[in-house]
Amino acid sequence: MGYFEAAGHRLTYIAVVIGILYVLCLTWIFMRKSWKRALQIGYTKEQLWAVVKASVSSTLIPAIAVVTGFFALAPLLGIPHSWWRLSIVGNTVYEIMAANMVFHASGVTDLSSATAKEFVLAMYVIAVGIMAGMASSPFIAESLHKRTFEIKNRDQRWGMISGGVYLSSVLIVFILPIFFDLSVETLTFLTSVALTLLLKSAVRRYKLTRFQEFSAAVCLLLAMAFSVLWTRLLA
Amino acid sequence: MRNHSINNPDPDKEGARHIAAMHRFGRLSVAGAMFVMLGIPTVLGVYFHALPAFSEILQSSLPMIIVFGPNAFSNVISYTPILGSSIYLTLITGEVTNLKLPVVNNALSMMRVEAGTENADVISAIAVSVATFVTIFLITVCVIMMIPLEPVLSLPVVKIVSANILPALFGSLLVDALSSAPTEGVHIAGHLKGLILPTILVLLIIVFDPALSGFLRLDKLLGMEGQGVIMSAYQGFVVIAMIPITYFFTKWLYKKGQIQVYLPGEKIPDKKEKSR
Repeated sequence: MGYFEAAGHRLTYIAVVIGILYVLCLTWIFMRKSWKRALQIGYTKEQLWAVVKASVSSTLIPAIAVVTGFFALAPLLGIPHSWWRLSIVGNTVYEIMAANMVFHASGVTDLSSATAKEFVLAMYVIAVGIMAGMASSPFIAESLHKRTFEIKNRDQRWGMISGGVYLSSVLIVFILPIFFDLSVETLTFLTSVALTLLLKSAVRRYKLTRFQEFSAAVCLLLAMAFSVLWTRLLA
Repeated sequence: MRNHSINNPDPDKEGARHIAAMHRFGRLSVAGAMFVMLGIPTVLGVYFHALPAFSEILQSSLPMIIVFGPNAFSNVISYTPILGSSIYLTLITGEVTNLKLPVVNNALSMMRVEAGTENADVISAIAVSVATFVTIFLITVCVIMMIPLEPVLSLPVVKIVSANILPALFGSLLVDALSSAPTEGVHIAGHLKGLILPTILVLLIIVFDPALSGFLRLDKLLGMEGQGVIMSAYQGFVVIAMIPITYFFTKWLYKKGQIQVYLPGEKIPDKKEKSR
């Protein structure tokens, strides 16, 4: 059986649909448990719906990249496998690299001559290569989470600082390399900072509390739109 | 509502039970997801009579594990304190840095809830669940409408926009992370001092990258000639190293009184008072 025959086979679609249904069920249970607990600790349904609306609006823009990735992946992995991969852990760059690694190791230069075995091998390699985080989480996540609570409980003042330390460390590592080159990335980042500051002060000054839940998505969208302008200017 | 201004860091018995149950369910979910991820190719391999040998899987997977493993592992360490028990769902569904983290951050800052509290745990789980539903829905719509949408998404302007999502996101995240008021009524003075040491260290790593300075030509080995190898391939390791450095340096400054926290209702001294 050929590579694309296997990639577009009815059984591949069925297996992928089962996998996606599993993820959707998990998500539903996570949401239901947390929703119930949120109501118990005193949040109102209106507040929780505001969280839902804000999360939908701030997901839509980054999800465009995921959707775009689908079109990059589909010619390589076929429709059902791309659908599955982008619904679970991974990203387009990783998936393309992993698939190429398989084809390189198998000596495949033209996918039309590849077999079902290469397709199955690509499925395995893409899954195994990114599992380190998932595989380690059952052993370390709960103790890490408990420790966060303990720190806050021991010293309330230090707890106020420690929560932000983790995110700041991550941001330093990701942001600093952007400044080593005056590029579209640098200008887009600075635009995003300026827009966020501007919108935050507008929300505070004009008491635009209803706008607050959409402000992150608006900043993101505007900063991305500016990236087109910076690309044209730098070109 | 309980603990909205301060976000009670000590969950009561019922809260502790809820969090333990979420972790238990999370662990089972991850085990199930790994089973499904490996089960799909196994079923297809058996049906198509195309099962590869274990050595073939290992040979092709090893480079991917070496390059992407540290980053995947660092996600657990870096993001569990922020995401809480929703880390499991986030790891299963992916897109951590560019999607789930900003969505959670937005939800927490909108609700004025601080990470590492029980309130943050439930809000994060709702935000991650919604983000997952929306992403899967969009991809499914995309699968159904693949052909008519393809020309729009291959437009050069869309390619530019999607290539710049991360810097656009990081700008907003940085403004929130540098805020001196992480939650309502709380003020932190001098909190930026804690970022000095990690910033210097990361700058040194970039400037003295052994690949770029010619000390070790790892860039050639990894097919990334001319690029900084440490920050490109081993960003995950750098994140793991920076977290304890930032943590202990900030704590040291806090103990020395260089960073001060004012809780709701406490008077924040103005600059003149401080200098006296």
